[in-house]
Amino acid sequence: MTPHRPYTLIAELTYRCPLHCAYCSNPVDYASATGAELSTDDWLRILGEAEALGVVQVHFTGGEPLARKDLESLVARARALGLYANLITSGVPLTRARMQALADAGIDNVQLSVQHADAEGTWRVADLDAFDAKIAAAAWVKELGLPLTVNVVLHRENLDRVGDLIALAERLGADRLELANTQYHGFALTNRDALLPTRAQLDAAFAIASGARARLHGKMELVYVRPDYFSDVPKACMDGWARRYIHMTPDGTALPCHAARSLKHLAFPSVREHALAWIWEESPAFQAYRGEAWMKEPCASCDARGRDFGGCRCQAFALTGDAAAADPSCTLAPGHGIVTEARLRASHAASTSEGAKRMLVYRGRPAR
Amino acid sequence: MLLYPERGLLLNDVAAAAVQRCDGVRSVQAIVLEVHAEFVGADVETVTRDVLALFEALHARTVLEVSGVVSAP
Repeated sequence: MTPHRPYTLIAELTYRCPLHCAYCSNPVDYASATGAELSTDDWLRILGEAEALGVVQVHFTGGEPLARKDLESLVARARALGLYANLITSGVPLTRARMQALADAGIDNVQLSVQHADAEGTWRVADLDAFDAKIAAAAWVKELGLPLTVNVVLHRENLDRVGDLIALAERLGADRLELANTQYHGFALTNRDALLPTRAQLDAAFAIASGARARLHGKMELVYVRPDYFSDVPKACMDGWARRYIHMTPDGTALPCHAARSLKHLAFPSVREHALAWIWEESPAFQAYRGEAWMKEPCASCDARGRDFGGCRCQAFALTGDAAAADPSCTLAPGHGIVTEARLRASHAASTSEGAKRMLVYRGRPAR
Repeated sequence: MLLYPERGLLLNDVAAAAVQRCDGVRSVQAIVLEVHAEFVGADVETVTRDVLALFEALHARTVLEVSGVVSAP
């Protein structure tokens, strides 16, 4: 019996999405490596089992969760269970009527992804002309009196426009703006050499964001997530492996985080075969990196191990081939040179005209 | 527990009593006095300081809206 209680269920309802973002966190092999989507009844059962385990928040995400016609009934069930229901959407397929139906179902908050401060930049990142649809979606959210969070993923091509992105969020009436630097998993890792910014870009953007945060105090909460490639200490990924979150993929595979399926040596359990309580408390995959017994040096004796949990297991595996290694974003990690080298390459690439705007690999599009 | 986007705050008894009274009608001062009345034994300065600190923290997260300043009589 684990002493940990999951607080949040991340419900990835589908991998279908109109956007093709070059930093999408979905697995790069999402199209071939996953099974059929769960049914409505499956999801209704999962919501009930999650609540019974202690979950208080559910994020409906994807892909694009609006692609599921049963989204309203899932939101209604979440609310009936007393869960805080958050919708994470591109906004592209949204209509006024759909937003009204979701409001009627009890959605608590809408998180709208914004890729860039203008139409051209959005097209470049998402490989779709999606900007105007997003502006319309934001207006419907506010018109219905719902709280709006604007999420922006930051990288080399939009960091210099942070001031414009903040102004856009203000214009949309956002209650919360999350400026989150790219985490290099999934497609973002594929495109890392094109997306990784320079330190000068990051310093300038951080100064602008800090100034705006003070100016907007009490009107709009501004959250700025620094990139772990530049922060010298690893992020406390997911607040620790299988400690606070359950991530459910469209085909019912339960994960401790969105990238965990990249750890091929672990067999992640399916809700089609197991109760969620068994998955959380007893499944070997959820136990694998829970607590500290798995840690190697320098993590095992590090004073920070209770704060950062050794960083990100998926990043350790992706960069070093060993999921139990210290996260290479940490300056104390034996693999830190990998991160330093990536930074140097980015700095060099950004100084050349072709490197400042490199070819991107888009999610769900053939390479070109 | 007070839930808001991506986070939640586990409130203690005093904080819960204060948040439950945030109804868009009561003034901050009225809430402080009501909370103080509920927790006999706590001195009014401590209750005032704690409730104001809580409200400022919630306001900074835009979880709490202050509807306006009531003009003095």
